[in-house]
Amino acid sequence: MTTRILSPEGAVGPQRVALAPLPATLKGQRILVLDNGKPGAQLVLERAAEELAARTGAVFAGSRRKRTAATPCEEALLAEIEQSADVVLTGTAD
Amino acid sequence: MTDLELELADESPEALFALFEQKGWGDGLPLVAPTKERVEAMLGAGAPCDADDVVATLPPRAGEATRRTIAVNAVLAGCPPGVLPVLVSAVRALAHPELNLRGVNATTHPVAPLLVVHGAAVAAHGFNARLGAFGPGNRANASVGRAVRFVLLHIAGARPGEGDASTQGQPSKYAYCIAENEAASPWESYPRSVGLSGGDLALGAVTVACGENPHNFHDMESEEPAPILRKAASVMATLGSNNAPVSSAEFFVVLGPEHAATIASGGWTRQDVQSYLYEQARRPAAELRAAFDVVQVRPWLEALGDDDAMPITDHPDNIRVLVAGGPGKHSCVIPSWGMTKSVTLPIEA
Repeated sequence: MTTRILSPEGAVGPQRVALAPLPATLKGQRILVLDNGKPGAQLVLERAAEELAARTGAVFAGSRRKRTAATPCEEALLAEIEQSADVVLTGTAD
Repeated sequence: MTDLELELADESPEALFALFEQKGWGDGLPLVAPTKERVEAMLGAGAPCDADDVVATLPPRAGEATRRTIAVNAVLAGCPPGVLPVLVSAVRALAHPELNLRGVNATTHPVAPLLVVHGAAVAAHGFNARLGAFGPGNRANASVGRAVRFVLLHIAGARPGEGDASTQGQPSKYAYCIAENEAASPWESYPRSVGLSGGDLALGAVTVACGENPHNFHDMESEEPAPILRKAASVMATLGSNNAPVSSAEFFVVLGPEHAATIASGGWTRQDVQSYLYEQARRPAAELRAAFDVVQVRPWLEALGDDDAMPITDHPDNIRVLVAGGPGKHSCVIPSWGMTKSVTLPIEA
């Protein structure tokens, strides 16, 4: 005999953030690295940004570092990045 | 059938197990089927608010925890009847910003929320504060701790590899729940020590603290407080600790009743214990600086000389002291994940 049970997941609430749309082209765009503070993150992300800029005609606009990988990026830093970049490279993990 | 209902081929445990494996749910252990009848019984009669009101929204899934979805997970975990208010309070604590649940769930560090139950709720629901408090063998501790994990797995979406990146996991990610042994504590109850009082505590309270498994320390010999606490300090200040490079980190020091009695018989208050551990749990600054490329420490700690003894945490208040367990000369330290603060809340009806 079939039995009905209730889902343990429940509903998903509204997402408060979403990824920005990708630009049509990277040519002339400012690429900025947001370093999450993990060892090696700046090195890996900067090399990727430099390579991307070289291949596409974008401009590497430097790096910024958030306080820690363990918490969201500071609002003031986000506001500054918004003015300084068209594309942001970031990542998480060790 | 609604979106929130599922159909089982039959009532067997195997059918439930198969469905949960297919969905990627559960913790790998047998489950109790959350039928509508069982969930309604868990919700109880005369609930003070709508069972579908959102209690908290939990990251990373942004899952909405309601009394009903919490009750579903309580049934799955085998919780005893009547215990839902404890779980609901625990979920509210999980959602407090300073607990940083997004980070707790996402980190590679092995961290699990420890639920500590205080006051009237301990006896009311049969929690074990005494011998073997961390387990096994007590239904309330085991099942309510397991239900907290189910809330994280199912509602918050903290599944290994998706919402939970813990490199190795840890056993306390199955269930991690104890009760404070107030009867054997020489000091005021833990919730009172953090500012709760009077009517707030009529139904008891919960503390949620996100940390590693307990790290035991034993002292069979000492009849004075200091030698016992020096051993605790040694455990706190281990160089491999995730907290070594994070100065704001909390440590829970869960004293067995015999250690607590010896310490209190020397006239030491809880604050004395915190202060002494703060003074003792240190390593040479040069050693810590050599060990870590990335640190999160207060500026005044950065100003210490290499030969100075750097405290493993930057304030005595970060060292949280309570009593649990039974006879014996064992206690434990629970290092937190670091970027998280414990939360203590009263239990509401």
